[in-house]
Amino acid sequence: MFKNEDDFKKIVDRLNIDDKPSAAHRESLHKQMLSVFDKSGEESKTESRPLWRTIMKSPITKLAAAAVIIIAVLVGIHLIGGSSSIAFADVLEQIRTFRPYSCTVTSQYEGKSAITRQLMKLTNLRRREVYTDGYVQIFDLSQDPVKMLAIHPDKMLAIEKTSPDIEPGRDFDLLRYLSIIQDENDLRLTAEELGLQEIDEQTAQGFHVPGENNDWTIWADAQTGLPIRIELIHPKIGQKIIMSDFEFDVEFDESLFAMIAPEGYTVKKVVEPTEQDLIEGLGAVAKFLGGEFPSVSEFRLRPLQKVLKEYIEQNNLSPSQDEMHSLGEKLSPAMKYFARINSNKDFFKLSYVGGGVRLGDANTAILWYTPQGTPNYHIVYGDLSVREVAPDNLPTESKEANTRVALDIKLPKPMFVGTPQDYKVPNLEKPLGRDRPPFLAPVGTKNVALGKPVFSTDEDPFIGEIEMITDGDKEAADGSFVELGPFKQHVTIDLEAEYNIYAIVIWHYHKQAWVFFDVAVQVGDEPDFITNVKTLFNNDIDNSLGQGVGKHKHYTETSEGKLIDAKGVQARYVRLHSNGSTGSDTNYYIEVEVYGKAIK
Amino acid sequence: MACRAIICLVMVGAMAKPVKQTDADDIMVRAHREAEALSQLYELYYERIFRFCAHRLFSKETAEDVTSTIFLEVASRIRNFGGQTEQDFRYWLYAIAANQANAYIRKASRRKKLLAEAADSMTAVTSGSTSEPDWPRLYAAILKLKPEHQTIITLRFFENMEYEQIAKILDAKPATLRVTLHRILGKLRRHLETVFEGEL
Repeated sequence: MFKNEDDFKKIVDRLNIDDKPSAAHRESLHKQMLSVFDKSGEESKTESRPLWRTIMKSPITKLAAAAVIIIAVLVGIHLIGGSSSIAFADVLEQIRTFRPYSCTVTSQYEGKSAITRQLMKLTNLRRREVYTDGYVQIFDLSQDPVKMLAIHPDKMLAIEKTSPDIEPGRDFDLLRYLSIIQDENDLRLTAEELGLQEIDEQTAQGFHVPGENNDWTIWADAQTGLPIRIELIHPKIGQKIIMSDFEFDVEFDESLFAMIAPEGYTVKKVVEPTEQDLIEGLGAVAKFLGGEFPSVSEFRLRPLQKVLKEYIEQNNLSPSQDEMHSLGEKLSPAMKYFARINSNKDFFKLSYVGGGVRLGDANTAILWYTPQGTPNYHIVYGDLSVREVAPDNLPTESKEANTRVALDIKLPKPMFVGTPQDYKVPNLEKPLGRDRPPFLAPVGTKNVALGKPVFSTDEDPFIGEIEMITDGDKEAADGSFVELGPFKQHVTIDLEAEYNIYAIVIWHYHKQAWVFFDVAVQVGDEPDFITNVKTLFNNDIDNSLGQGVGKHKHYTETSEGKLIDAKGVQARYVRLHSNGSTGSDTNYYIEVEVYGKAIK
Repeated sequence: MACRAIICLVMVGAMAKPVKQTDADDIMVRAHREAEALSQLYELYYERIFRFCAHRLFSKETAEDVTSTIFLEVASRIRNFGGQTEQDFRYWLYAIAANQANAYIRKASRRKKLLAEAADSMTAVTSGSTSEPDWPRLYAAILKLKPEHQTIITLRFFENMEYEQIAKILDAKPATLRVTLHRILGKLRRHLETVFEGEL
């Protein structure tokens, strides 16, 4: 017999194996394969994949496809050849100095309908937008606080919005943004000439300015350099904006920009929530939760409601109506502010990392975001102080430590179909009736049991091998489970290092809706589990295992597995007990996953 | 080193012609859309994949069936395959091959059939047994391993691949593979002992 790899290799090399293929099969498969290949080509041609999605997915074809898009989208473009008459700098020069203009702006997110509006810019800070359904927005960013008037002709309603948080004197204008491209000193932002084309009866010079975040195509009058058409693609957020029908140096009637509701309209005044509202709301929630900021992956209403409800239940609280009303009053404007900054993640870049941070902790950040119009971030700390920092100075460690994300638990294919037999098991948990909710754990938490050594009271299983418990195969099919001997047995997983363990997921045998008895899950820091043993789960109601009477419920096997919240306990060894099931005296295991993070 | 890269030859299968690495990469890029390039990859790899299947599945007839499944899957997916080099293709192809072979033997009835075939061959071939296993006996022992472990054995000892290459195919870490293989060989040794004792 062989002793090591080299020995085994020699044995293999000496084998006499008839592994010559047949020429007929080779030839016949070749033909079949080409036929399948041709067919797949035809299918891919008929797929209605949006062209601009292709651009985003394939950087290699990006430039070529951009040119194709322009040709496909624009009506009235004819290639007329010839050499360039203006440079990109000429175009920038034309738009660097503001001149009143109007244009049509079409904005479209991938997979959504396009929205078209007419934009009129009186000054850098005053604009009017008219949508195709008659809805009008007038902005005046020259005032403090900034104001906006929304006119709904269909409802004869005018809403005057005041936004105390928006810094006056800054308006987002694509032309202005384009004009400062060169100032960004970014080598990627180098214009490529696209040649001359006829667009809407004008000779236009094209320029393509690629970028990871903004991909510009500009067609400008070949004589004057004034923009004729601008196309901007945001590959990362899947948005396309087209500006066309430009008119420059327009002599607008100034009354179009007046912040006055039309006669006969109902006027509603709205003051938009501010950062101060957000801070007060955060403080109120933390105070309600016993001085701790809520553990939610995103600061949205539903997750927050769930946390509040669970806190009330777990602590047997009976908050008075006044208390709840007071909390609601503080939370309502804060949630509106959150809704706003949650609505555009790429713009506001909100990160909430406050889960578990104590109210009053001046050193730990609970959230940060970029308020409108500022390049820097605002960081809110546990003591509710706010500091403005440059993007490079964000507290990354704090983010990683506090951020909780849903564990990515890959579930096996469900095998059991039908109604589970009523085994009359006492203390049996009712089925949830829906998918298990996501389990939140710190960023970077992963299955640390995968491939790790397993020991068992039965080292010679009836079926399978003990290593299969941590081999990553969670299917219930033959060949995927191990059947240990009857009655009380346990398996121990050596994680080979200490980890903070957040969850343990167990699949005993989900091919049948069985209930396993005396399931106990323990962790320890030595393999014999003699000292410093912590029991995380125990449904041994009569102390058969001798580990104490368990209070947890029996549960029915499903393909979701049984998830046990380990609450970050530190341990190296995980031991799982069982004592047969409703289906068999023997003990089955398909897989055990231990989700944890290495201790730094 | 640059010179070495340029003259690096890819020899695939006994019948295949030597192909320069850069040429092979070019074939891969073209194979996304050109039948001719796909045919060239097929010629390069058919025999190797067939042998891989024959080593995993013992029966040549079964190996032909699974080889067909593998290349038909390649043909239907290669237009969307993101790989750009011949090496990318090789790892991808072997990953498909490993999955298809595993899928085949996961069914207990098929496993039994293969085992029976090996047992039949064993009786016919091994009169006067030695202390060293012949192919049917070794196959019977390998077949007792988990399918994923069988793949590792085949890639390492029959395809003569390095740990790093196997790791790419199986999306695993080379160090983990090294440990796993050590354990697999231990099991294989035990299985072989039982096979020699006539327990199939």
